[in-house]
Amino acid sequence: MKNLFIFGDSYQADHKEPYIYTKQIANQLSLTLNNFAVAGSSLEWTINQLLQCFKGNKINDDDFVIIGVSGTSRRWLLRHYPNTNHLDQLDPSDFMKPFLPPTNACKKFEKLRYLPYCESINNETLKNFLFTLDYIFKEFRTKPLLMTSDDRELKIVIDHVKQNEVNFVSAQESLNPFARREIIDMTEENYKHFRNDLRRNHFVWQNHNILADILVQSFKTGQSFSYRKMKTNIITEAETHLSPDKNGKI
Amino acid sequence: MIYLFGDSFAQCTYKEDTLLYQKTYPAILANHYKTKVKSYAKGGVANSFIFKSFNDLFGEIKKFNDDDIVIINITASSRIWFWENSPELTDTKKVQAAWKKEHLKFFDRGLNVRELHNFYKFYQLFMSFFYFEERERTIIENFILSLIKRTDNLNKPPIIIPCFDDEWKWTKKIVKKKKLPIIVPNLHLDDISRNEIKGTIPTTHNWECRINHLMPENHIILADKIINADKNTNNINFKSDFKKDLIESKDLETLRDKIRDAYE
Repeated sequence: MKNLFIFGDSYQADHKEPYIYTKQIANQLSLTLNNFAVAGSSLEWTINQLLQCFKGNKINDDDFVIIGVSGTSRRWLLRHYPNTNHLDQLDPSDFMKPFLPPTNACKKFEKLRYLPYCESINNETLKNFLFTLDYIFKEFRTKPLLMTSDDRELKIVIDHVKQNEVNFVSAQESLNPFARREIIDMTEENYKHFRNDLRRNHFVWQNHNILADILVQSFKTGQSFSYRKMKTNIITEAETHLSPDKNGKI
Repeated sequence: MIYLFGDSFAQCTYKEDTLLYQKTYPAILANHYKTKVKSYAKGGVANSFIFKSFNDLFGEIKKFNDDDIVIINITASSRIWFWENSPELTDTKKVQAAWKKEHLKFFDRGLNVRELHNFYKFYQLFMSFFYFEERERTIIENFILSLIKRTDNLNKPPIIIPCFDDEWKWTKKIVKKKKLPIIVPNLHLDDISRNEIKGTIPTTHNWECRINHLMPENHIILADKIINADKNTNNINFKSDFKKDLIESKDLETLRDKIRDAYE
């Protein structure tokens, strides 16, 4: 049986509910699902997971692959905790506290790490990664799909696709605006500070169905894909903080 | 054209028409191939600077000519590129040196005491709590794999010469395991540089007289090894021929003129 490999962050992470779009894709195409995505993780972690599979010859050229590109301002800060890219957001009661550096060090580090130029140089890692994808997937029968979380990274991907012959397929839009537009009256500014989103992969079940169809179609055609068919204004902000049942209903 | 990317092991410090420059391995290579050298290397920089200078030139559309020679030094992954205009200040030692000797130059570039202090704190925190090999290795492997497509038209595969031990091991391992068309030596440059020094190697020298941390004799040998790199085995043999004990450790910083004489 062929495999579906998933790499990325919260937009691709696995959940137990059956309506999750990555599970739907695996079912529709009769693939074994291997999901390496971790919510909150950085591009560095995603690349690490992909390269581990590549170096270990775990991915074959007849497998299917979806890769999520998270924001390049995120860093993989703690080796065993790839979800920890913002130390100041941790709750004091967080179970990870005992494993973290002293609180003062975390706070100082958070404050300082946005000062330097080193935030923007993560873009170079993304640029290199796009060429790396070309090499890894050059023999693949089905082109891997690239889903970008934010517009800043999408621009780098689109520019790369325009200027190079590539062996992957990219989305035409980033995911963030579509996750935001599901929420009634949610502004772009408010969404930046939006927390405790319990929607699975930041989408309600109706859009999981639509997303699965969009991605299956792109796997079949090898053409770039758009999220424009996804539904908007279908959930209130309060409802996003409630855990959905196994069918996605609140 | 010969393209050089890297840190102090690759930077061309002197002007092309000087005798000093003519004794360096980039110049010897240029003479051999009857071509020019373009060096984008700079002493003290981090890998992120090296990767960016490569991407700025060969990130999109533009490709190398098939007879170009591409040499990339990969430097210590513990270095952090902190300020855009001062890429050479990549660790606390370099900041200290800048502070003691050349701080006016950095102040002219817009840095101030507070920023230098912030970097000092940031770097110490980073190295104490947030530095780990697996991430740094991933970033380097990502760059190495990204090279393949960008250099696939070269007659001679790109040559990666890691400067230090960890980065050399990581590079060698992935190139060997995935049989990548990249030439890597069987030793890193820092070893050759250190073997040249007789006596105890100073741990805190900020400036040294050797060009690219090599004496002229070894520049010739290095150039020869690059010319004869075997693209079939993807190997440059660094384990033999290089000369050892060429300079007393005490002469490294103090006898600038003596070393200059050695080059001339």
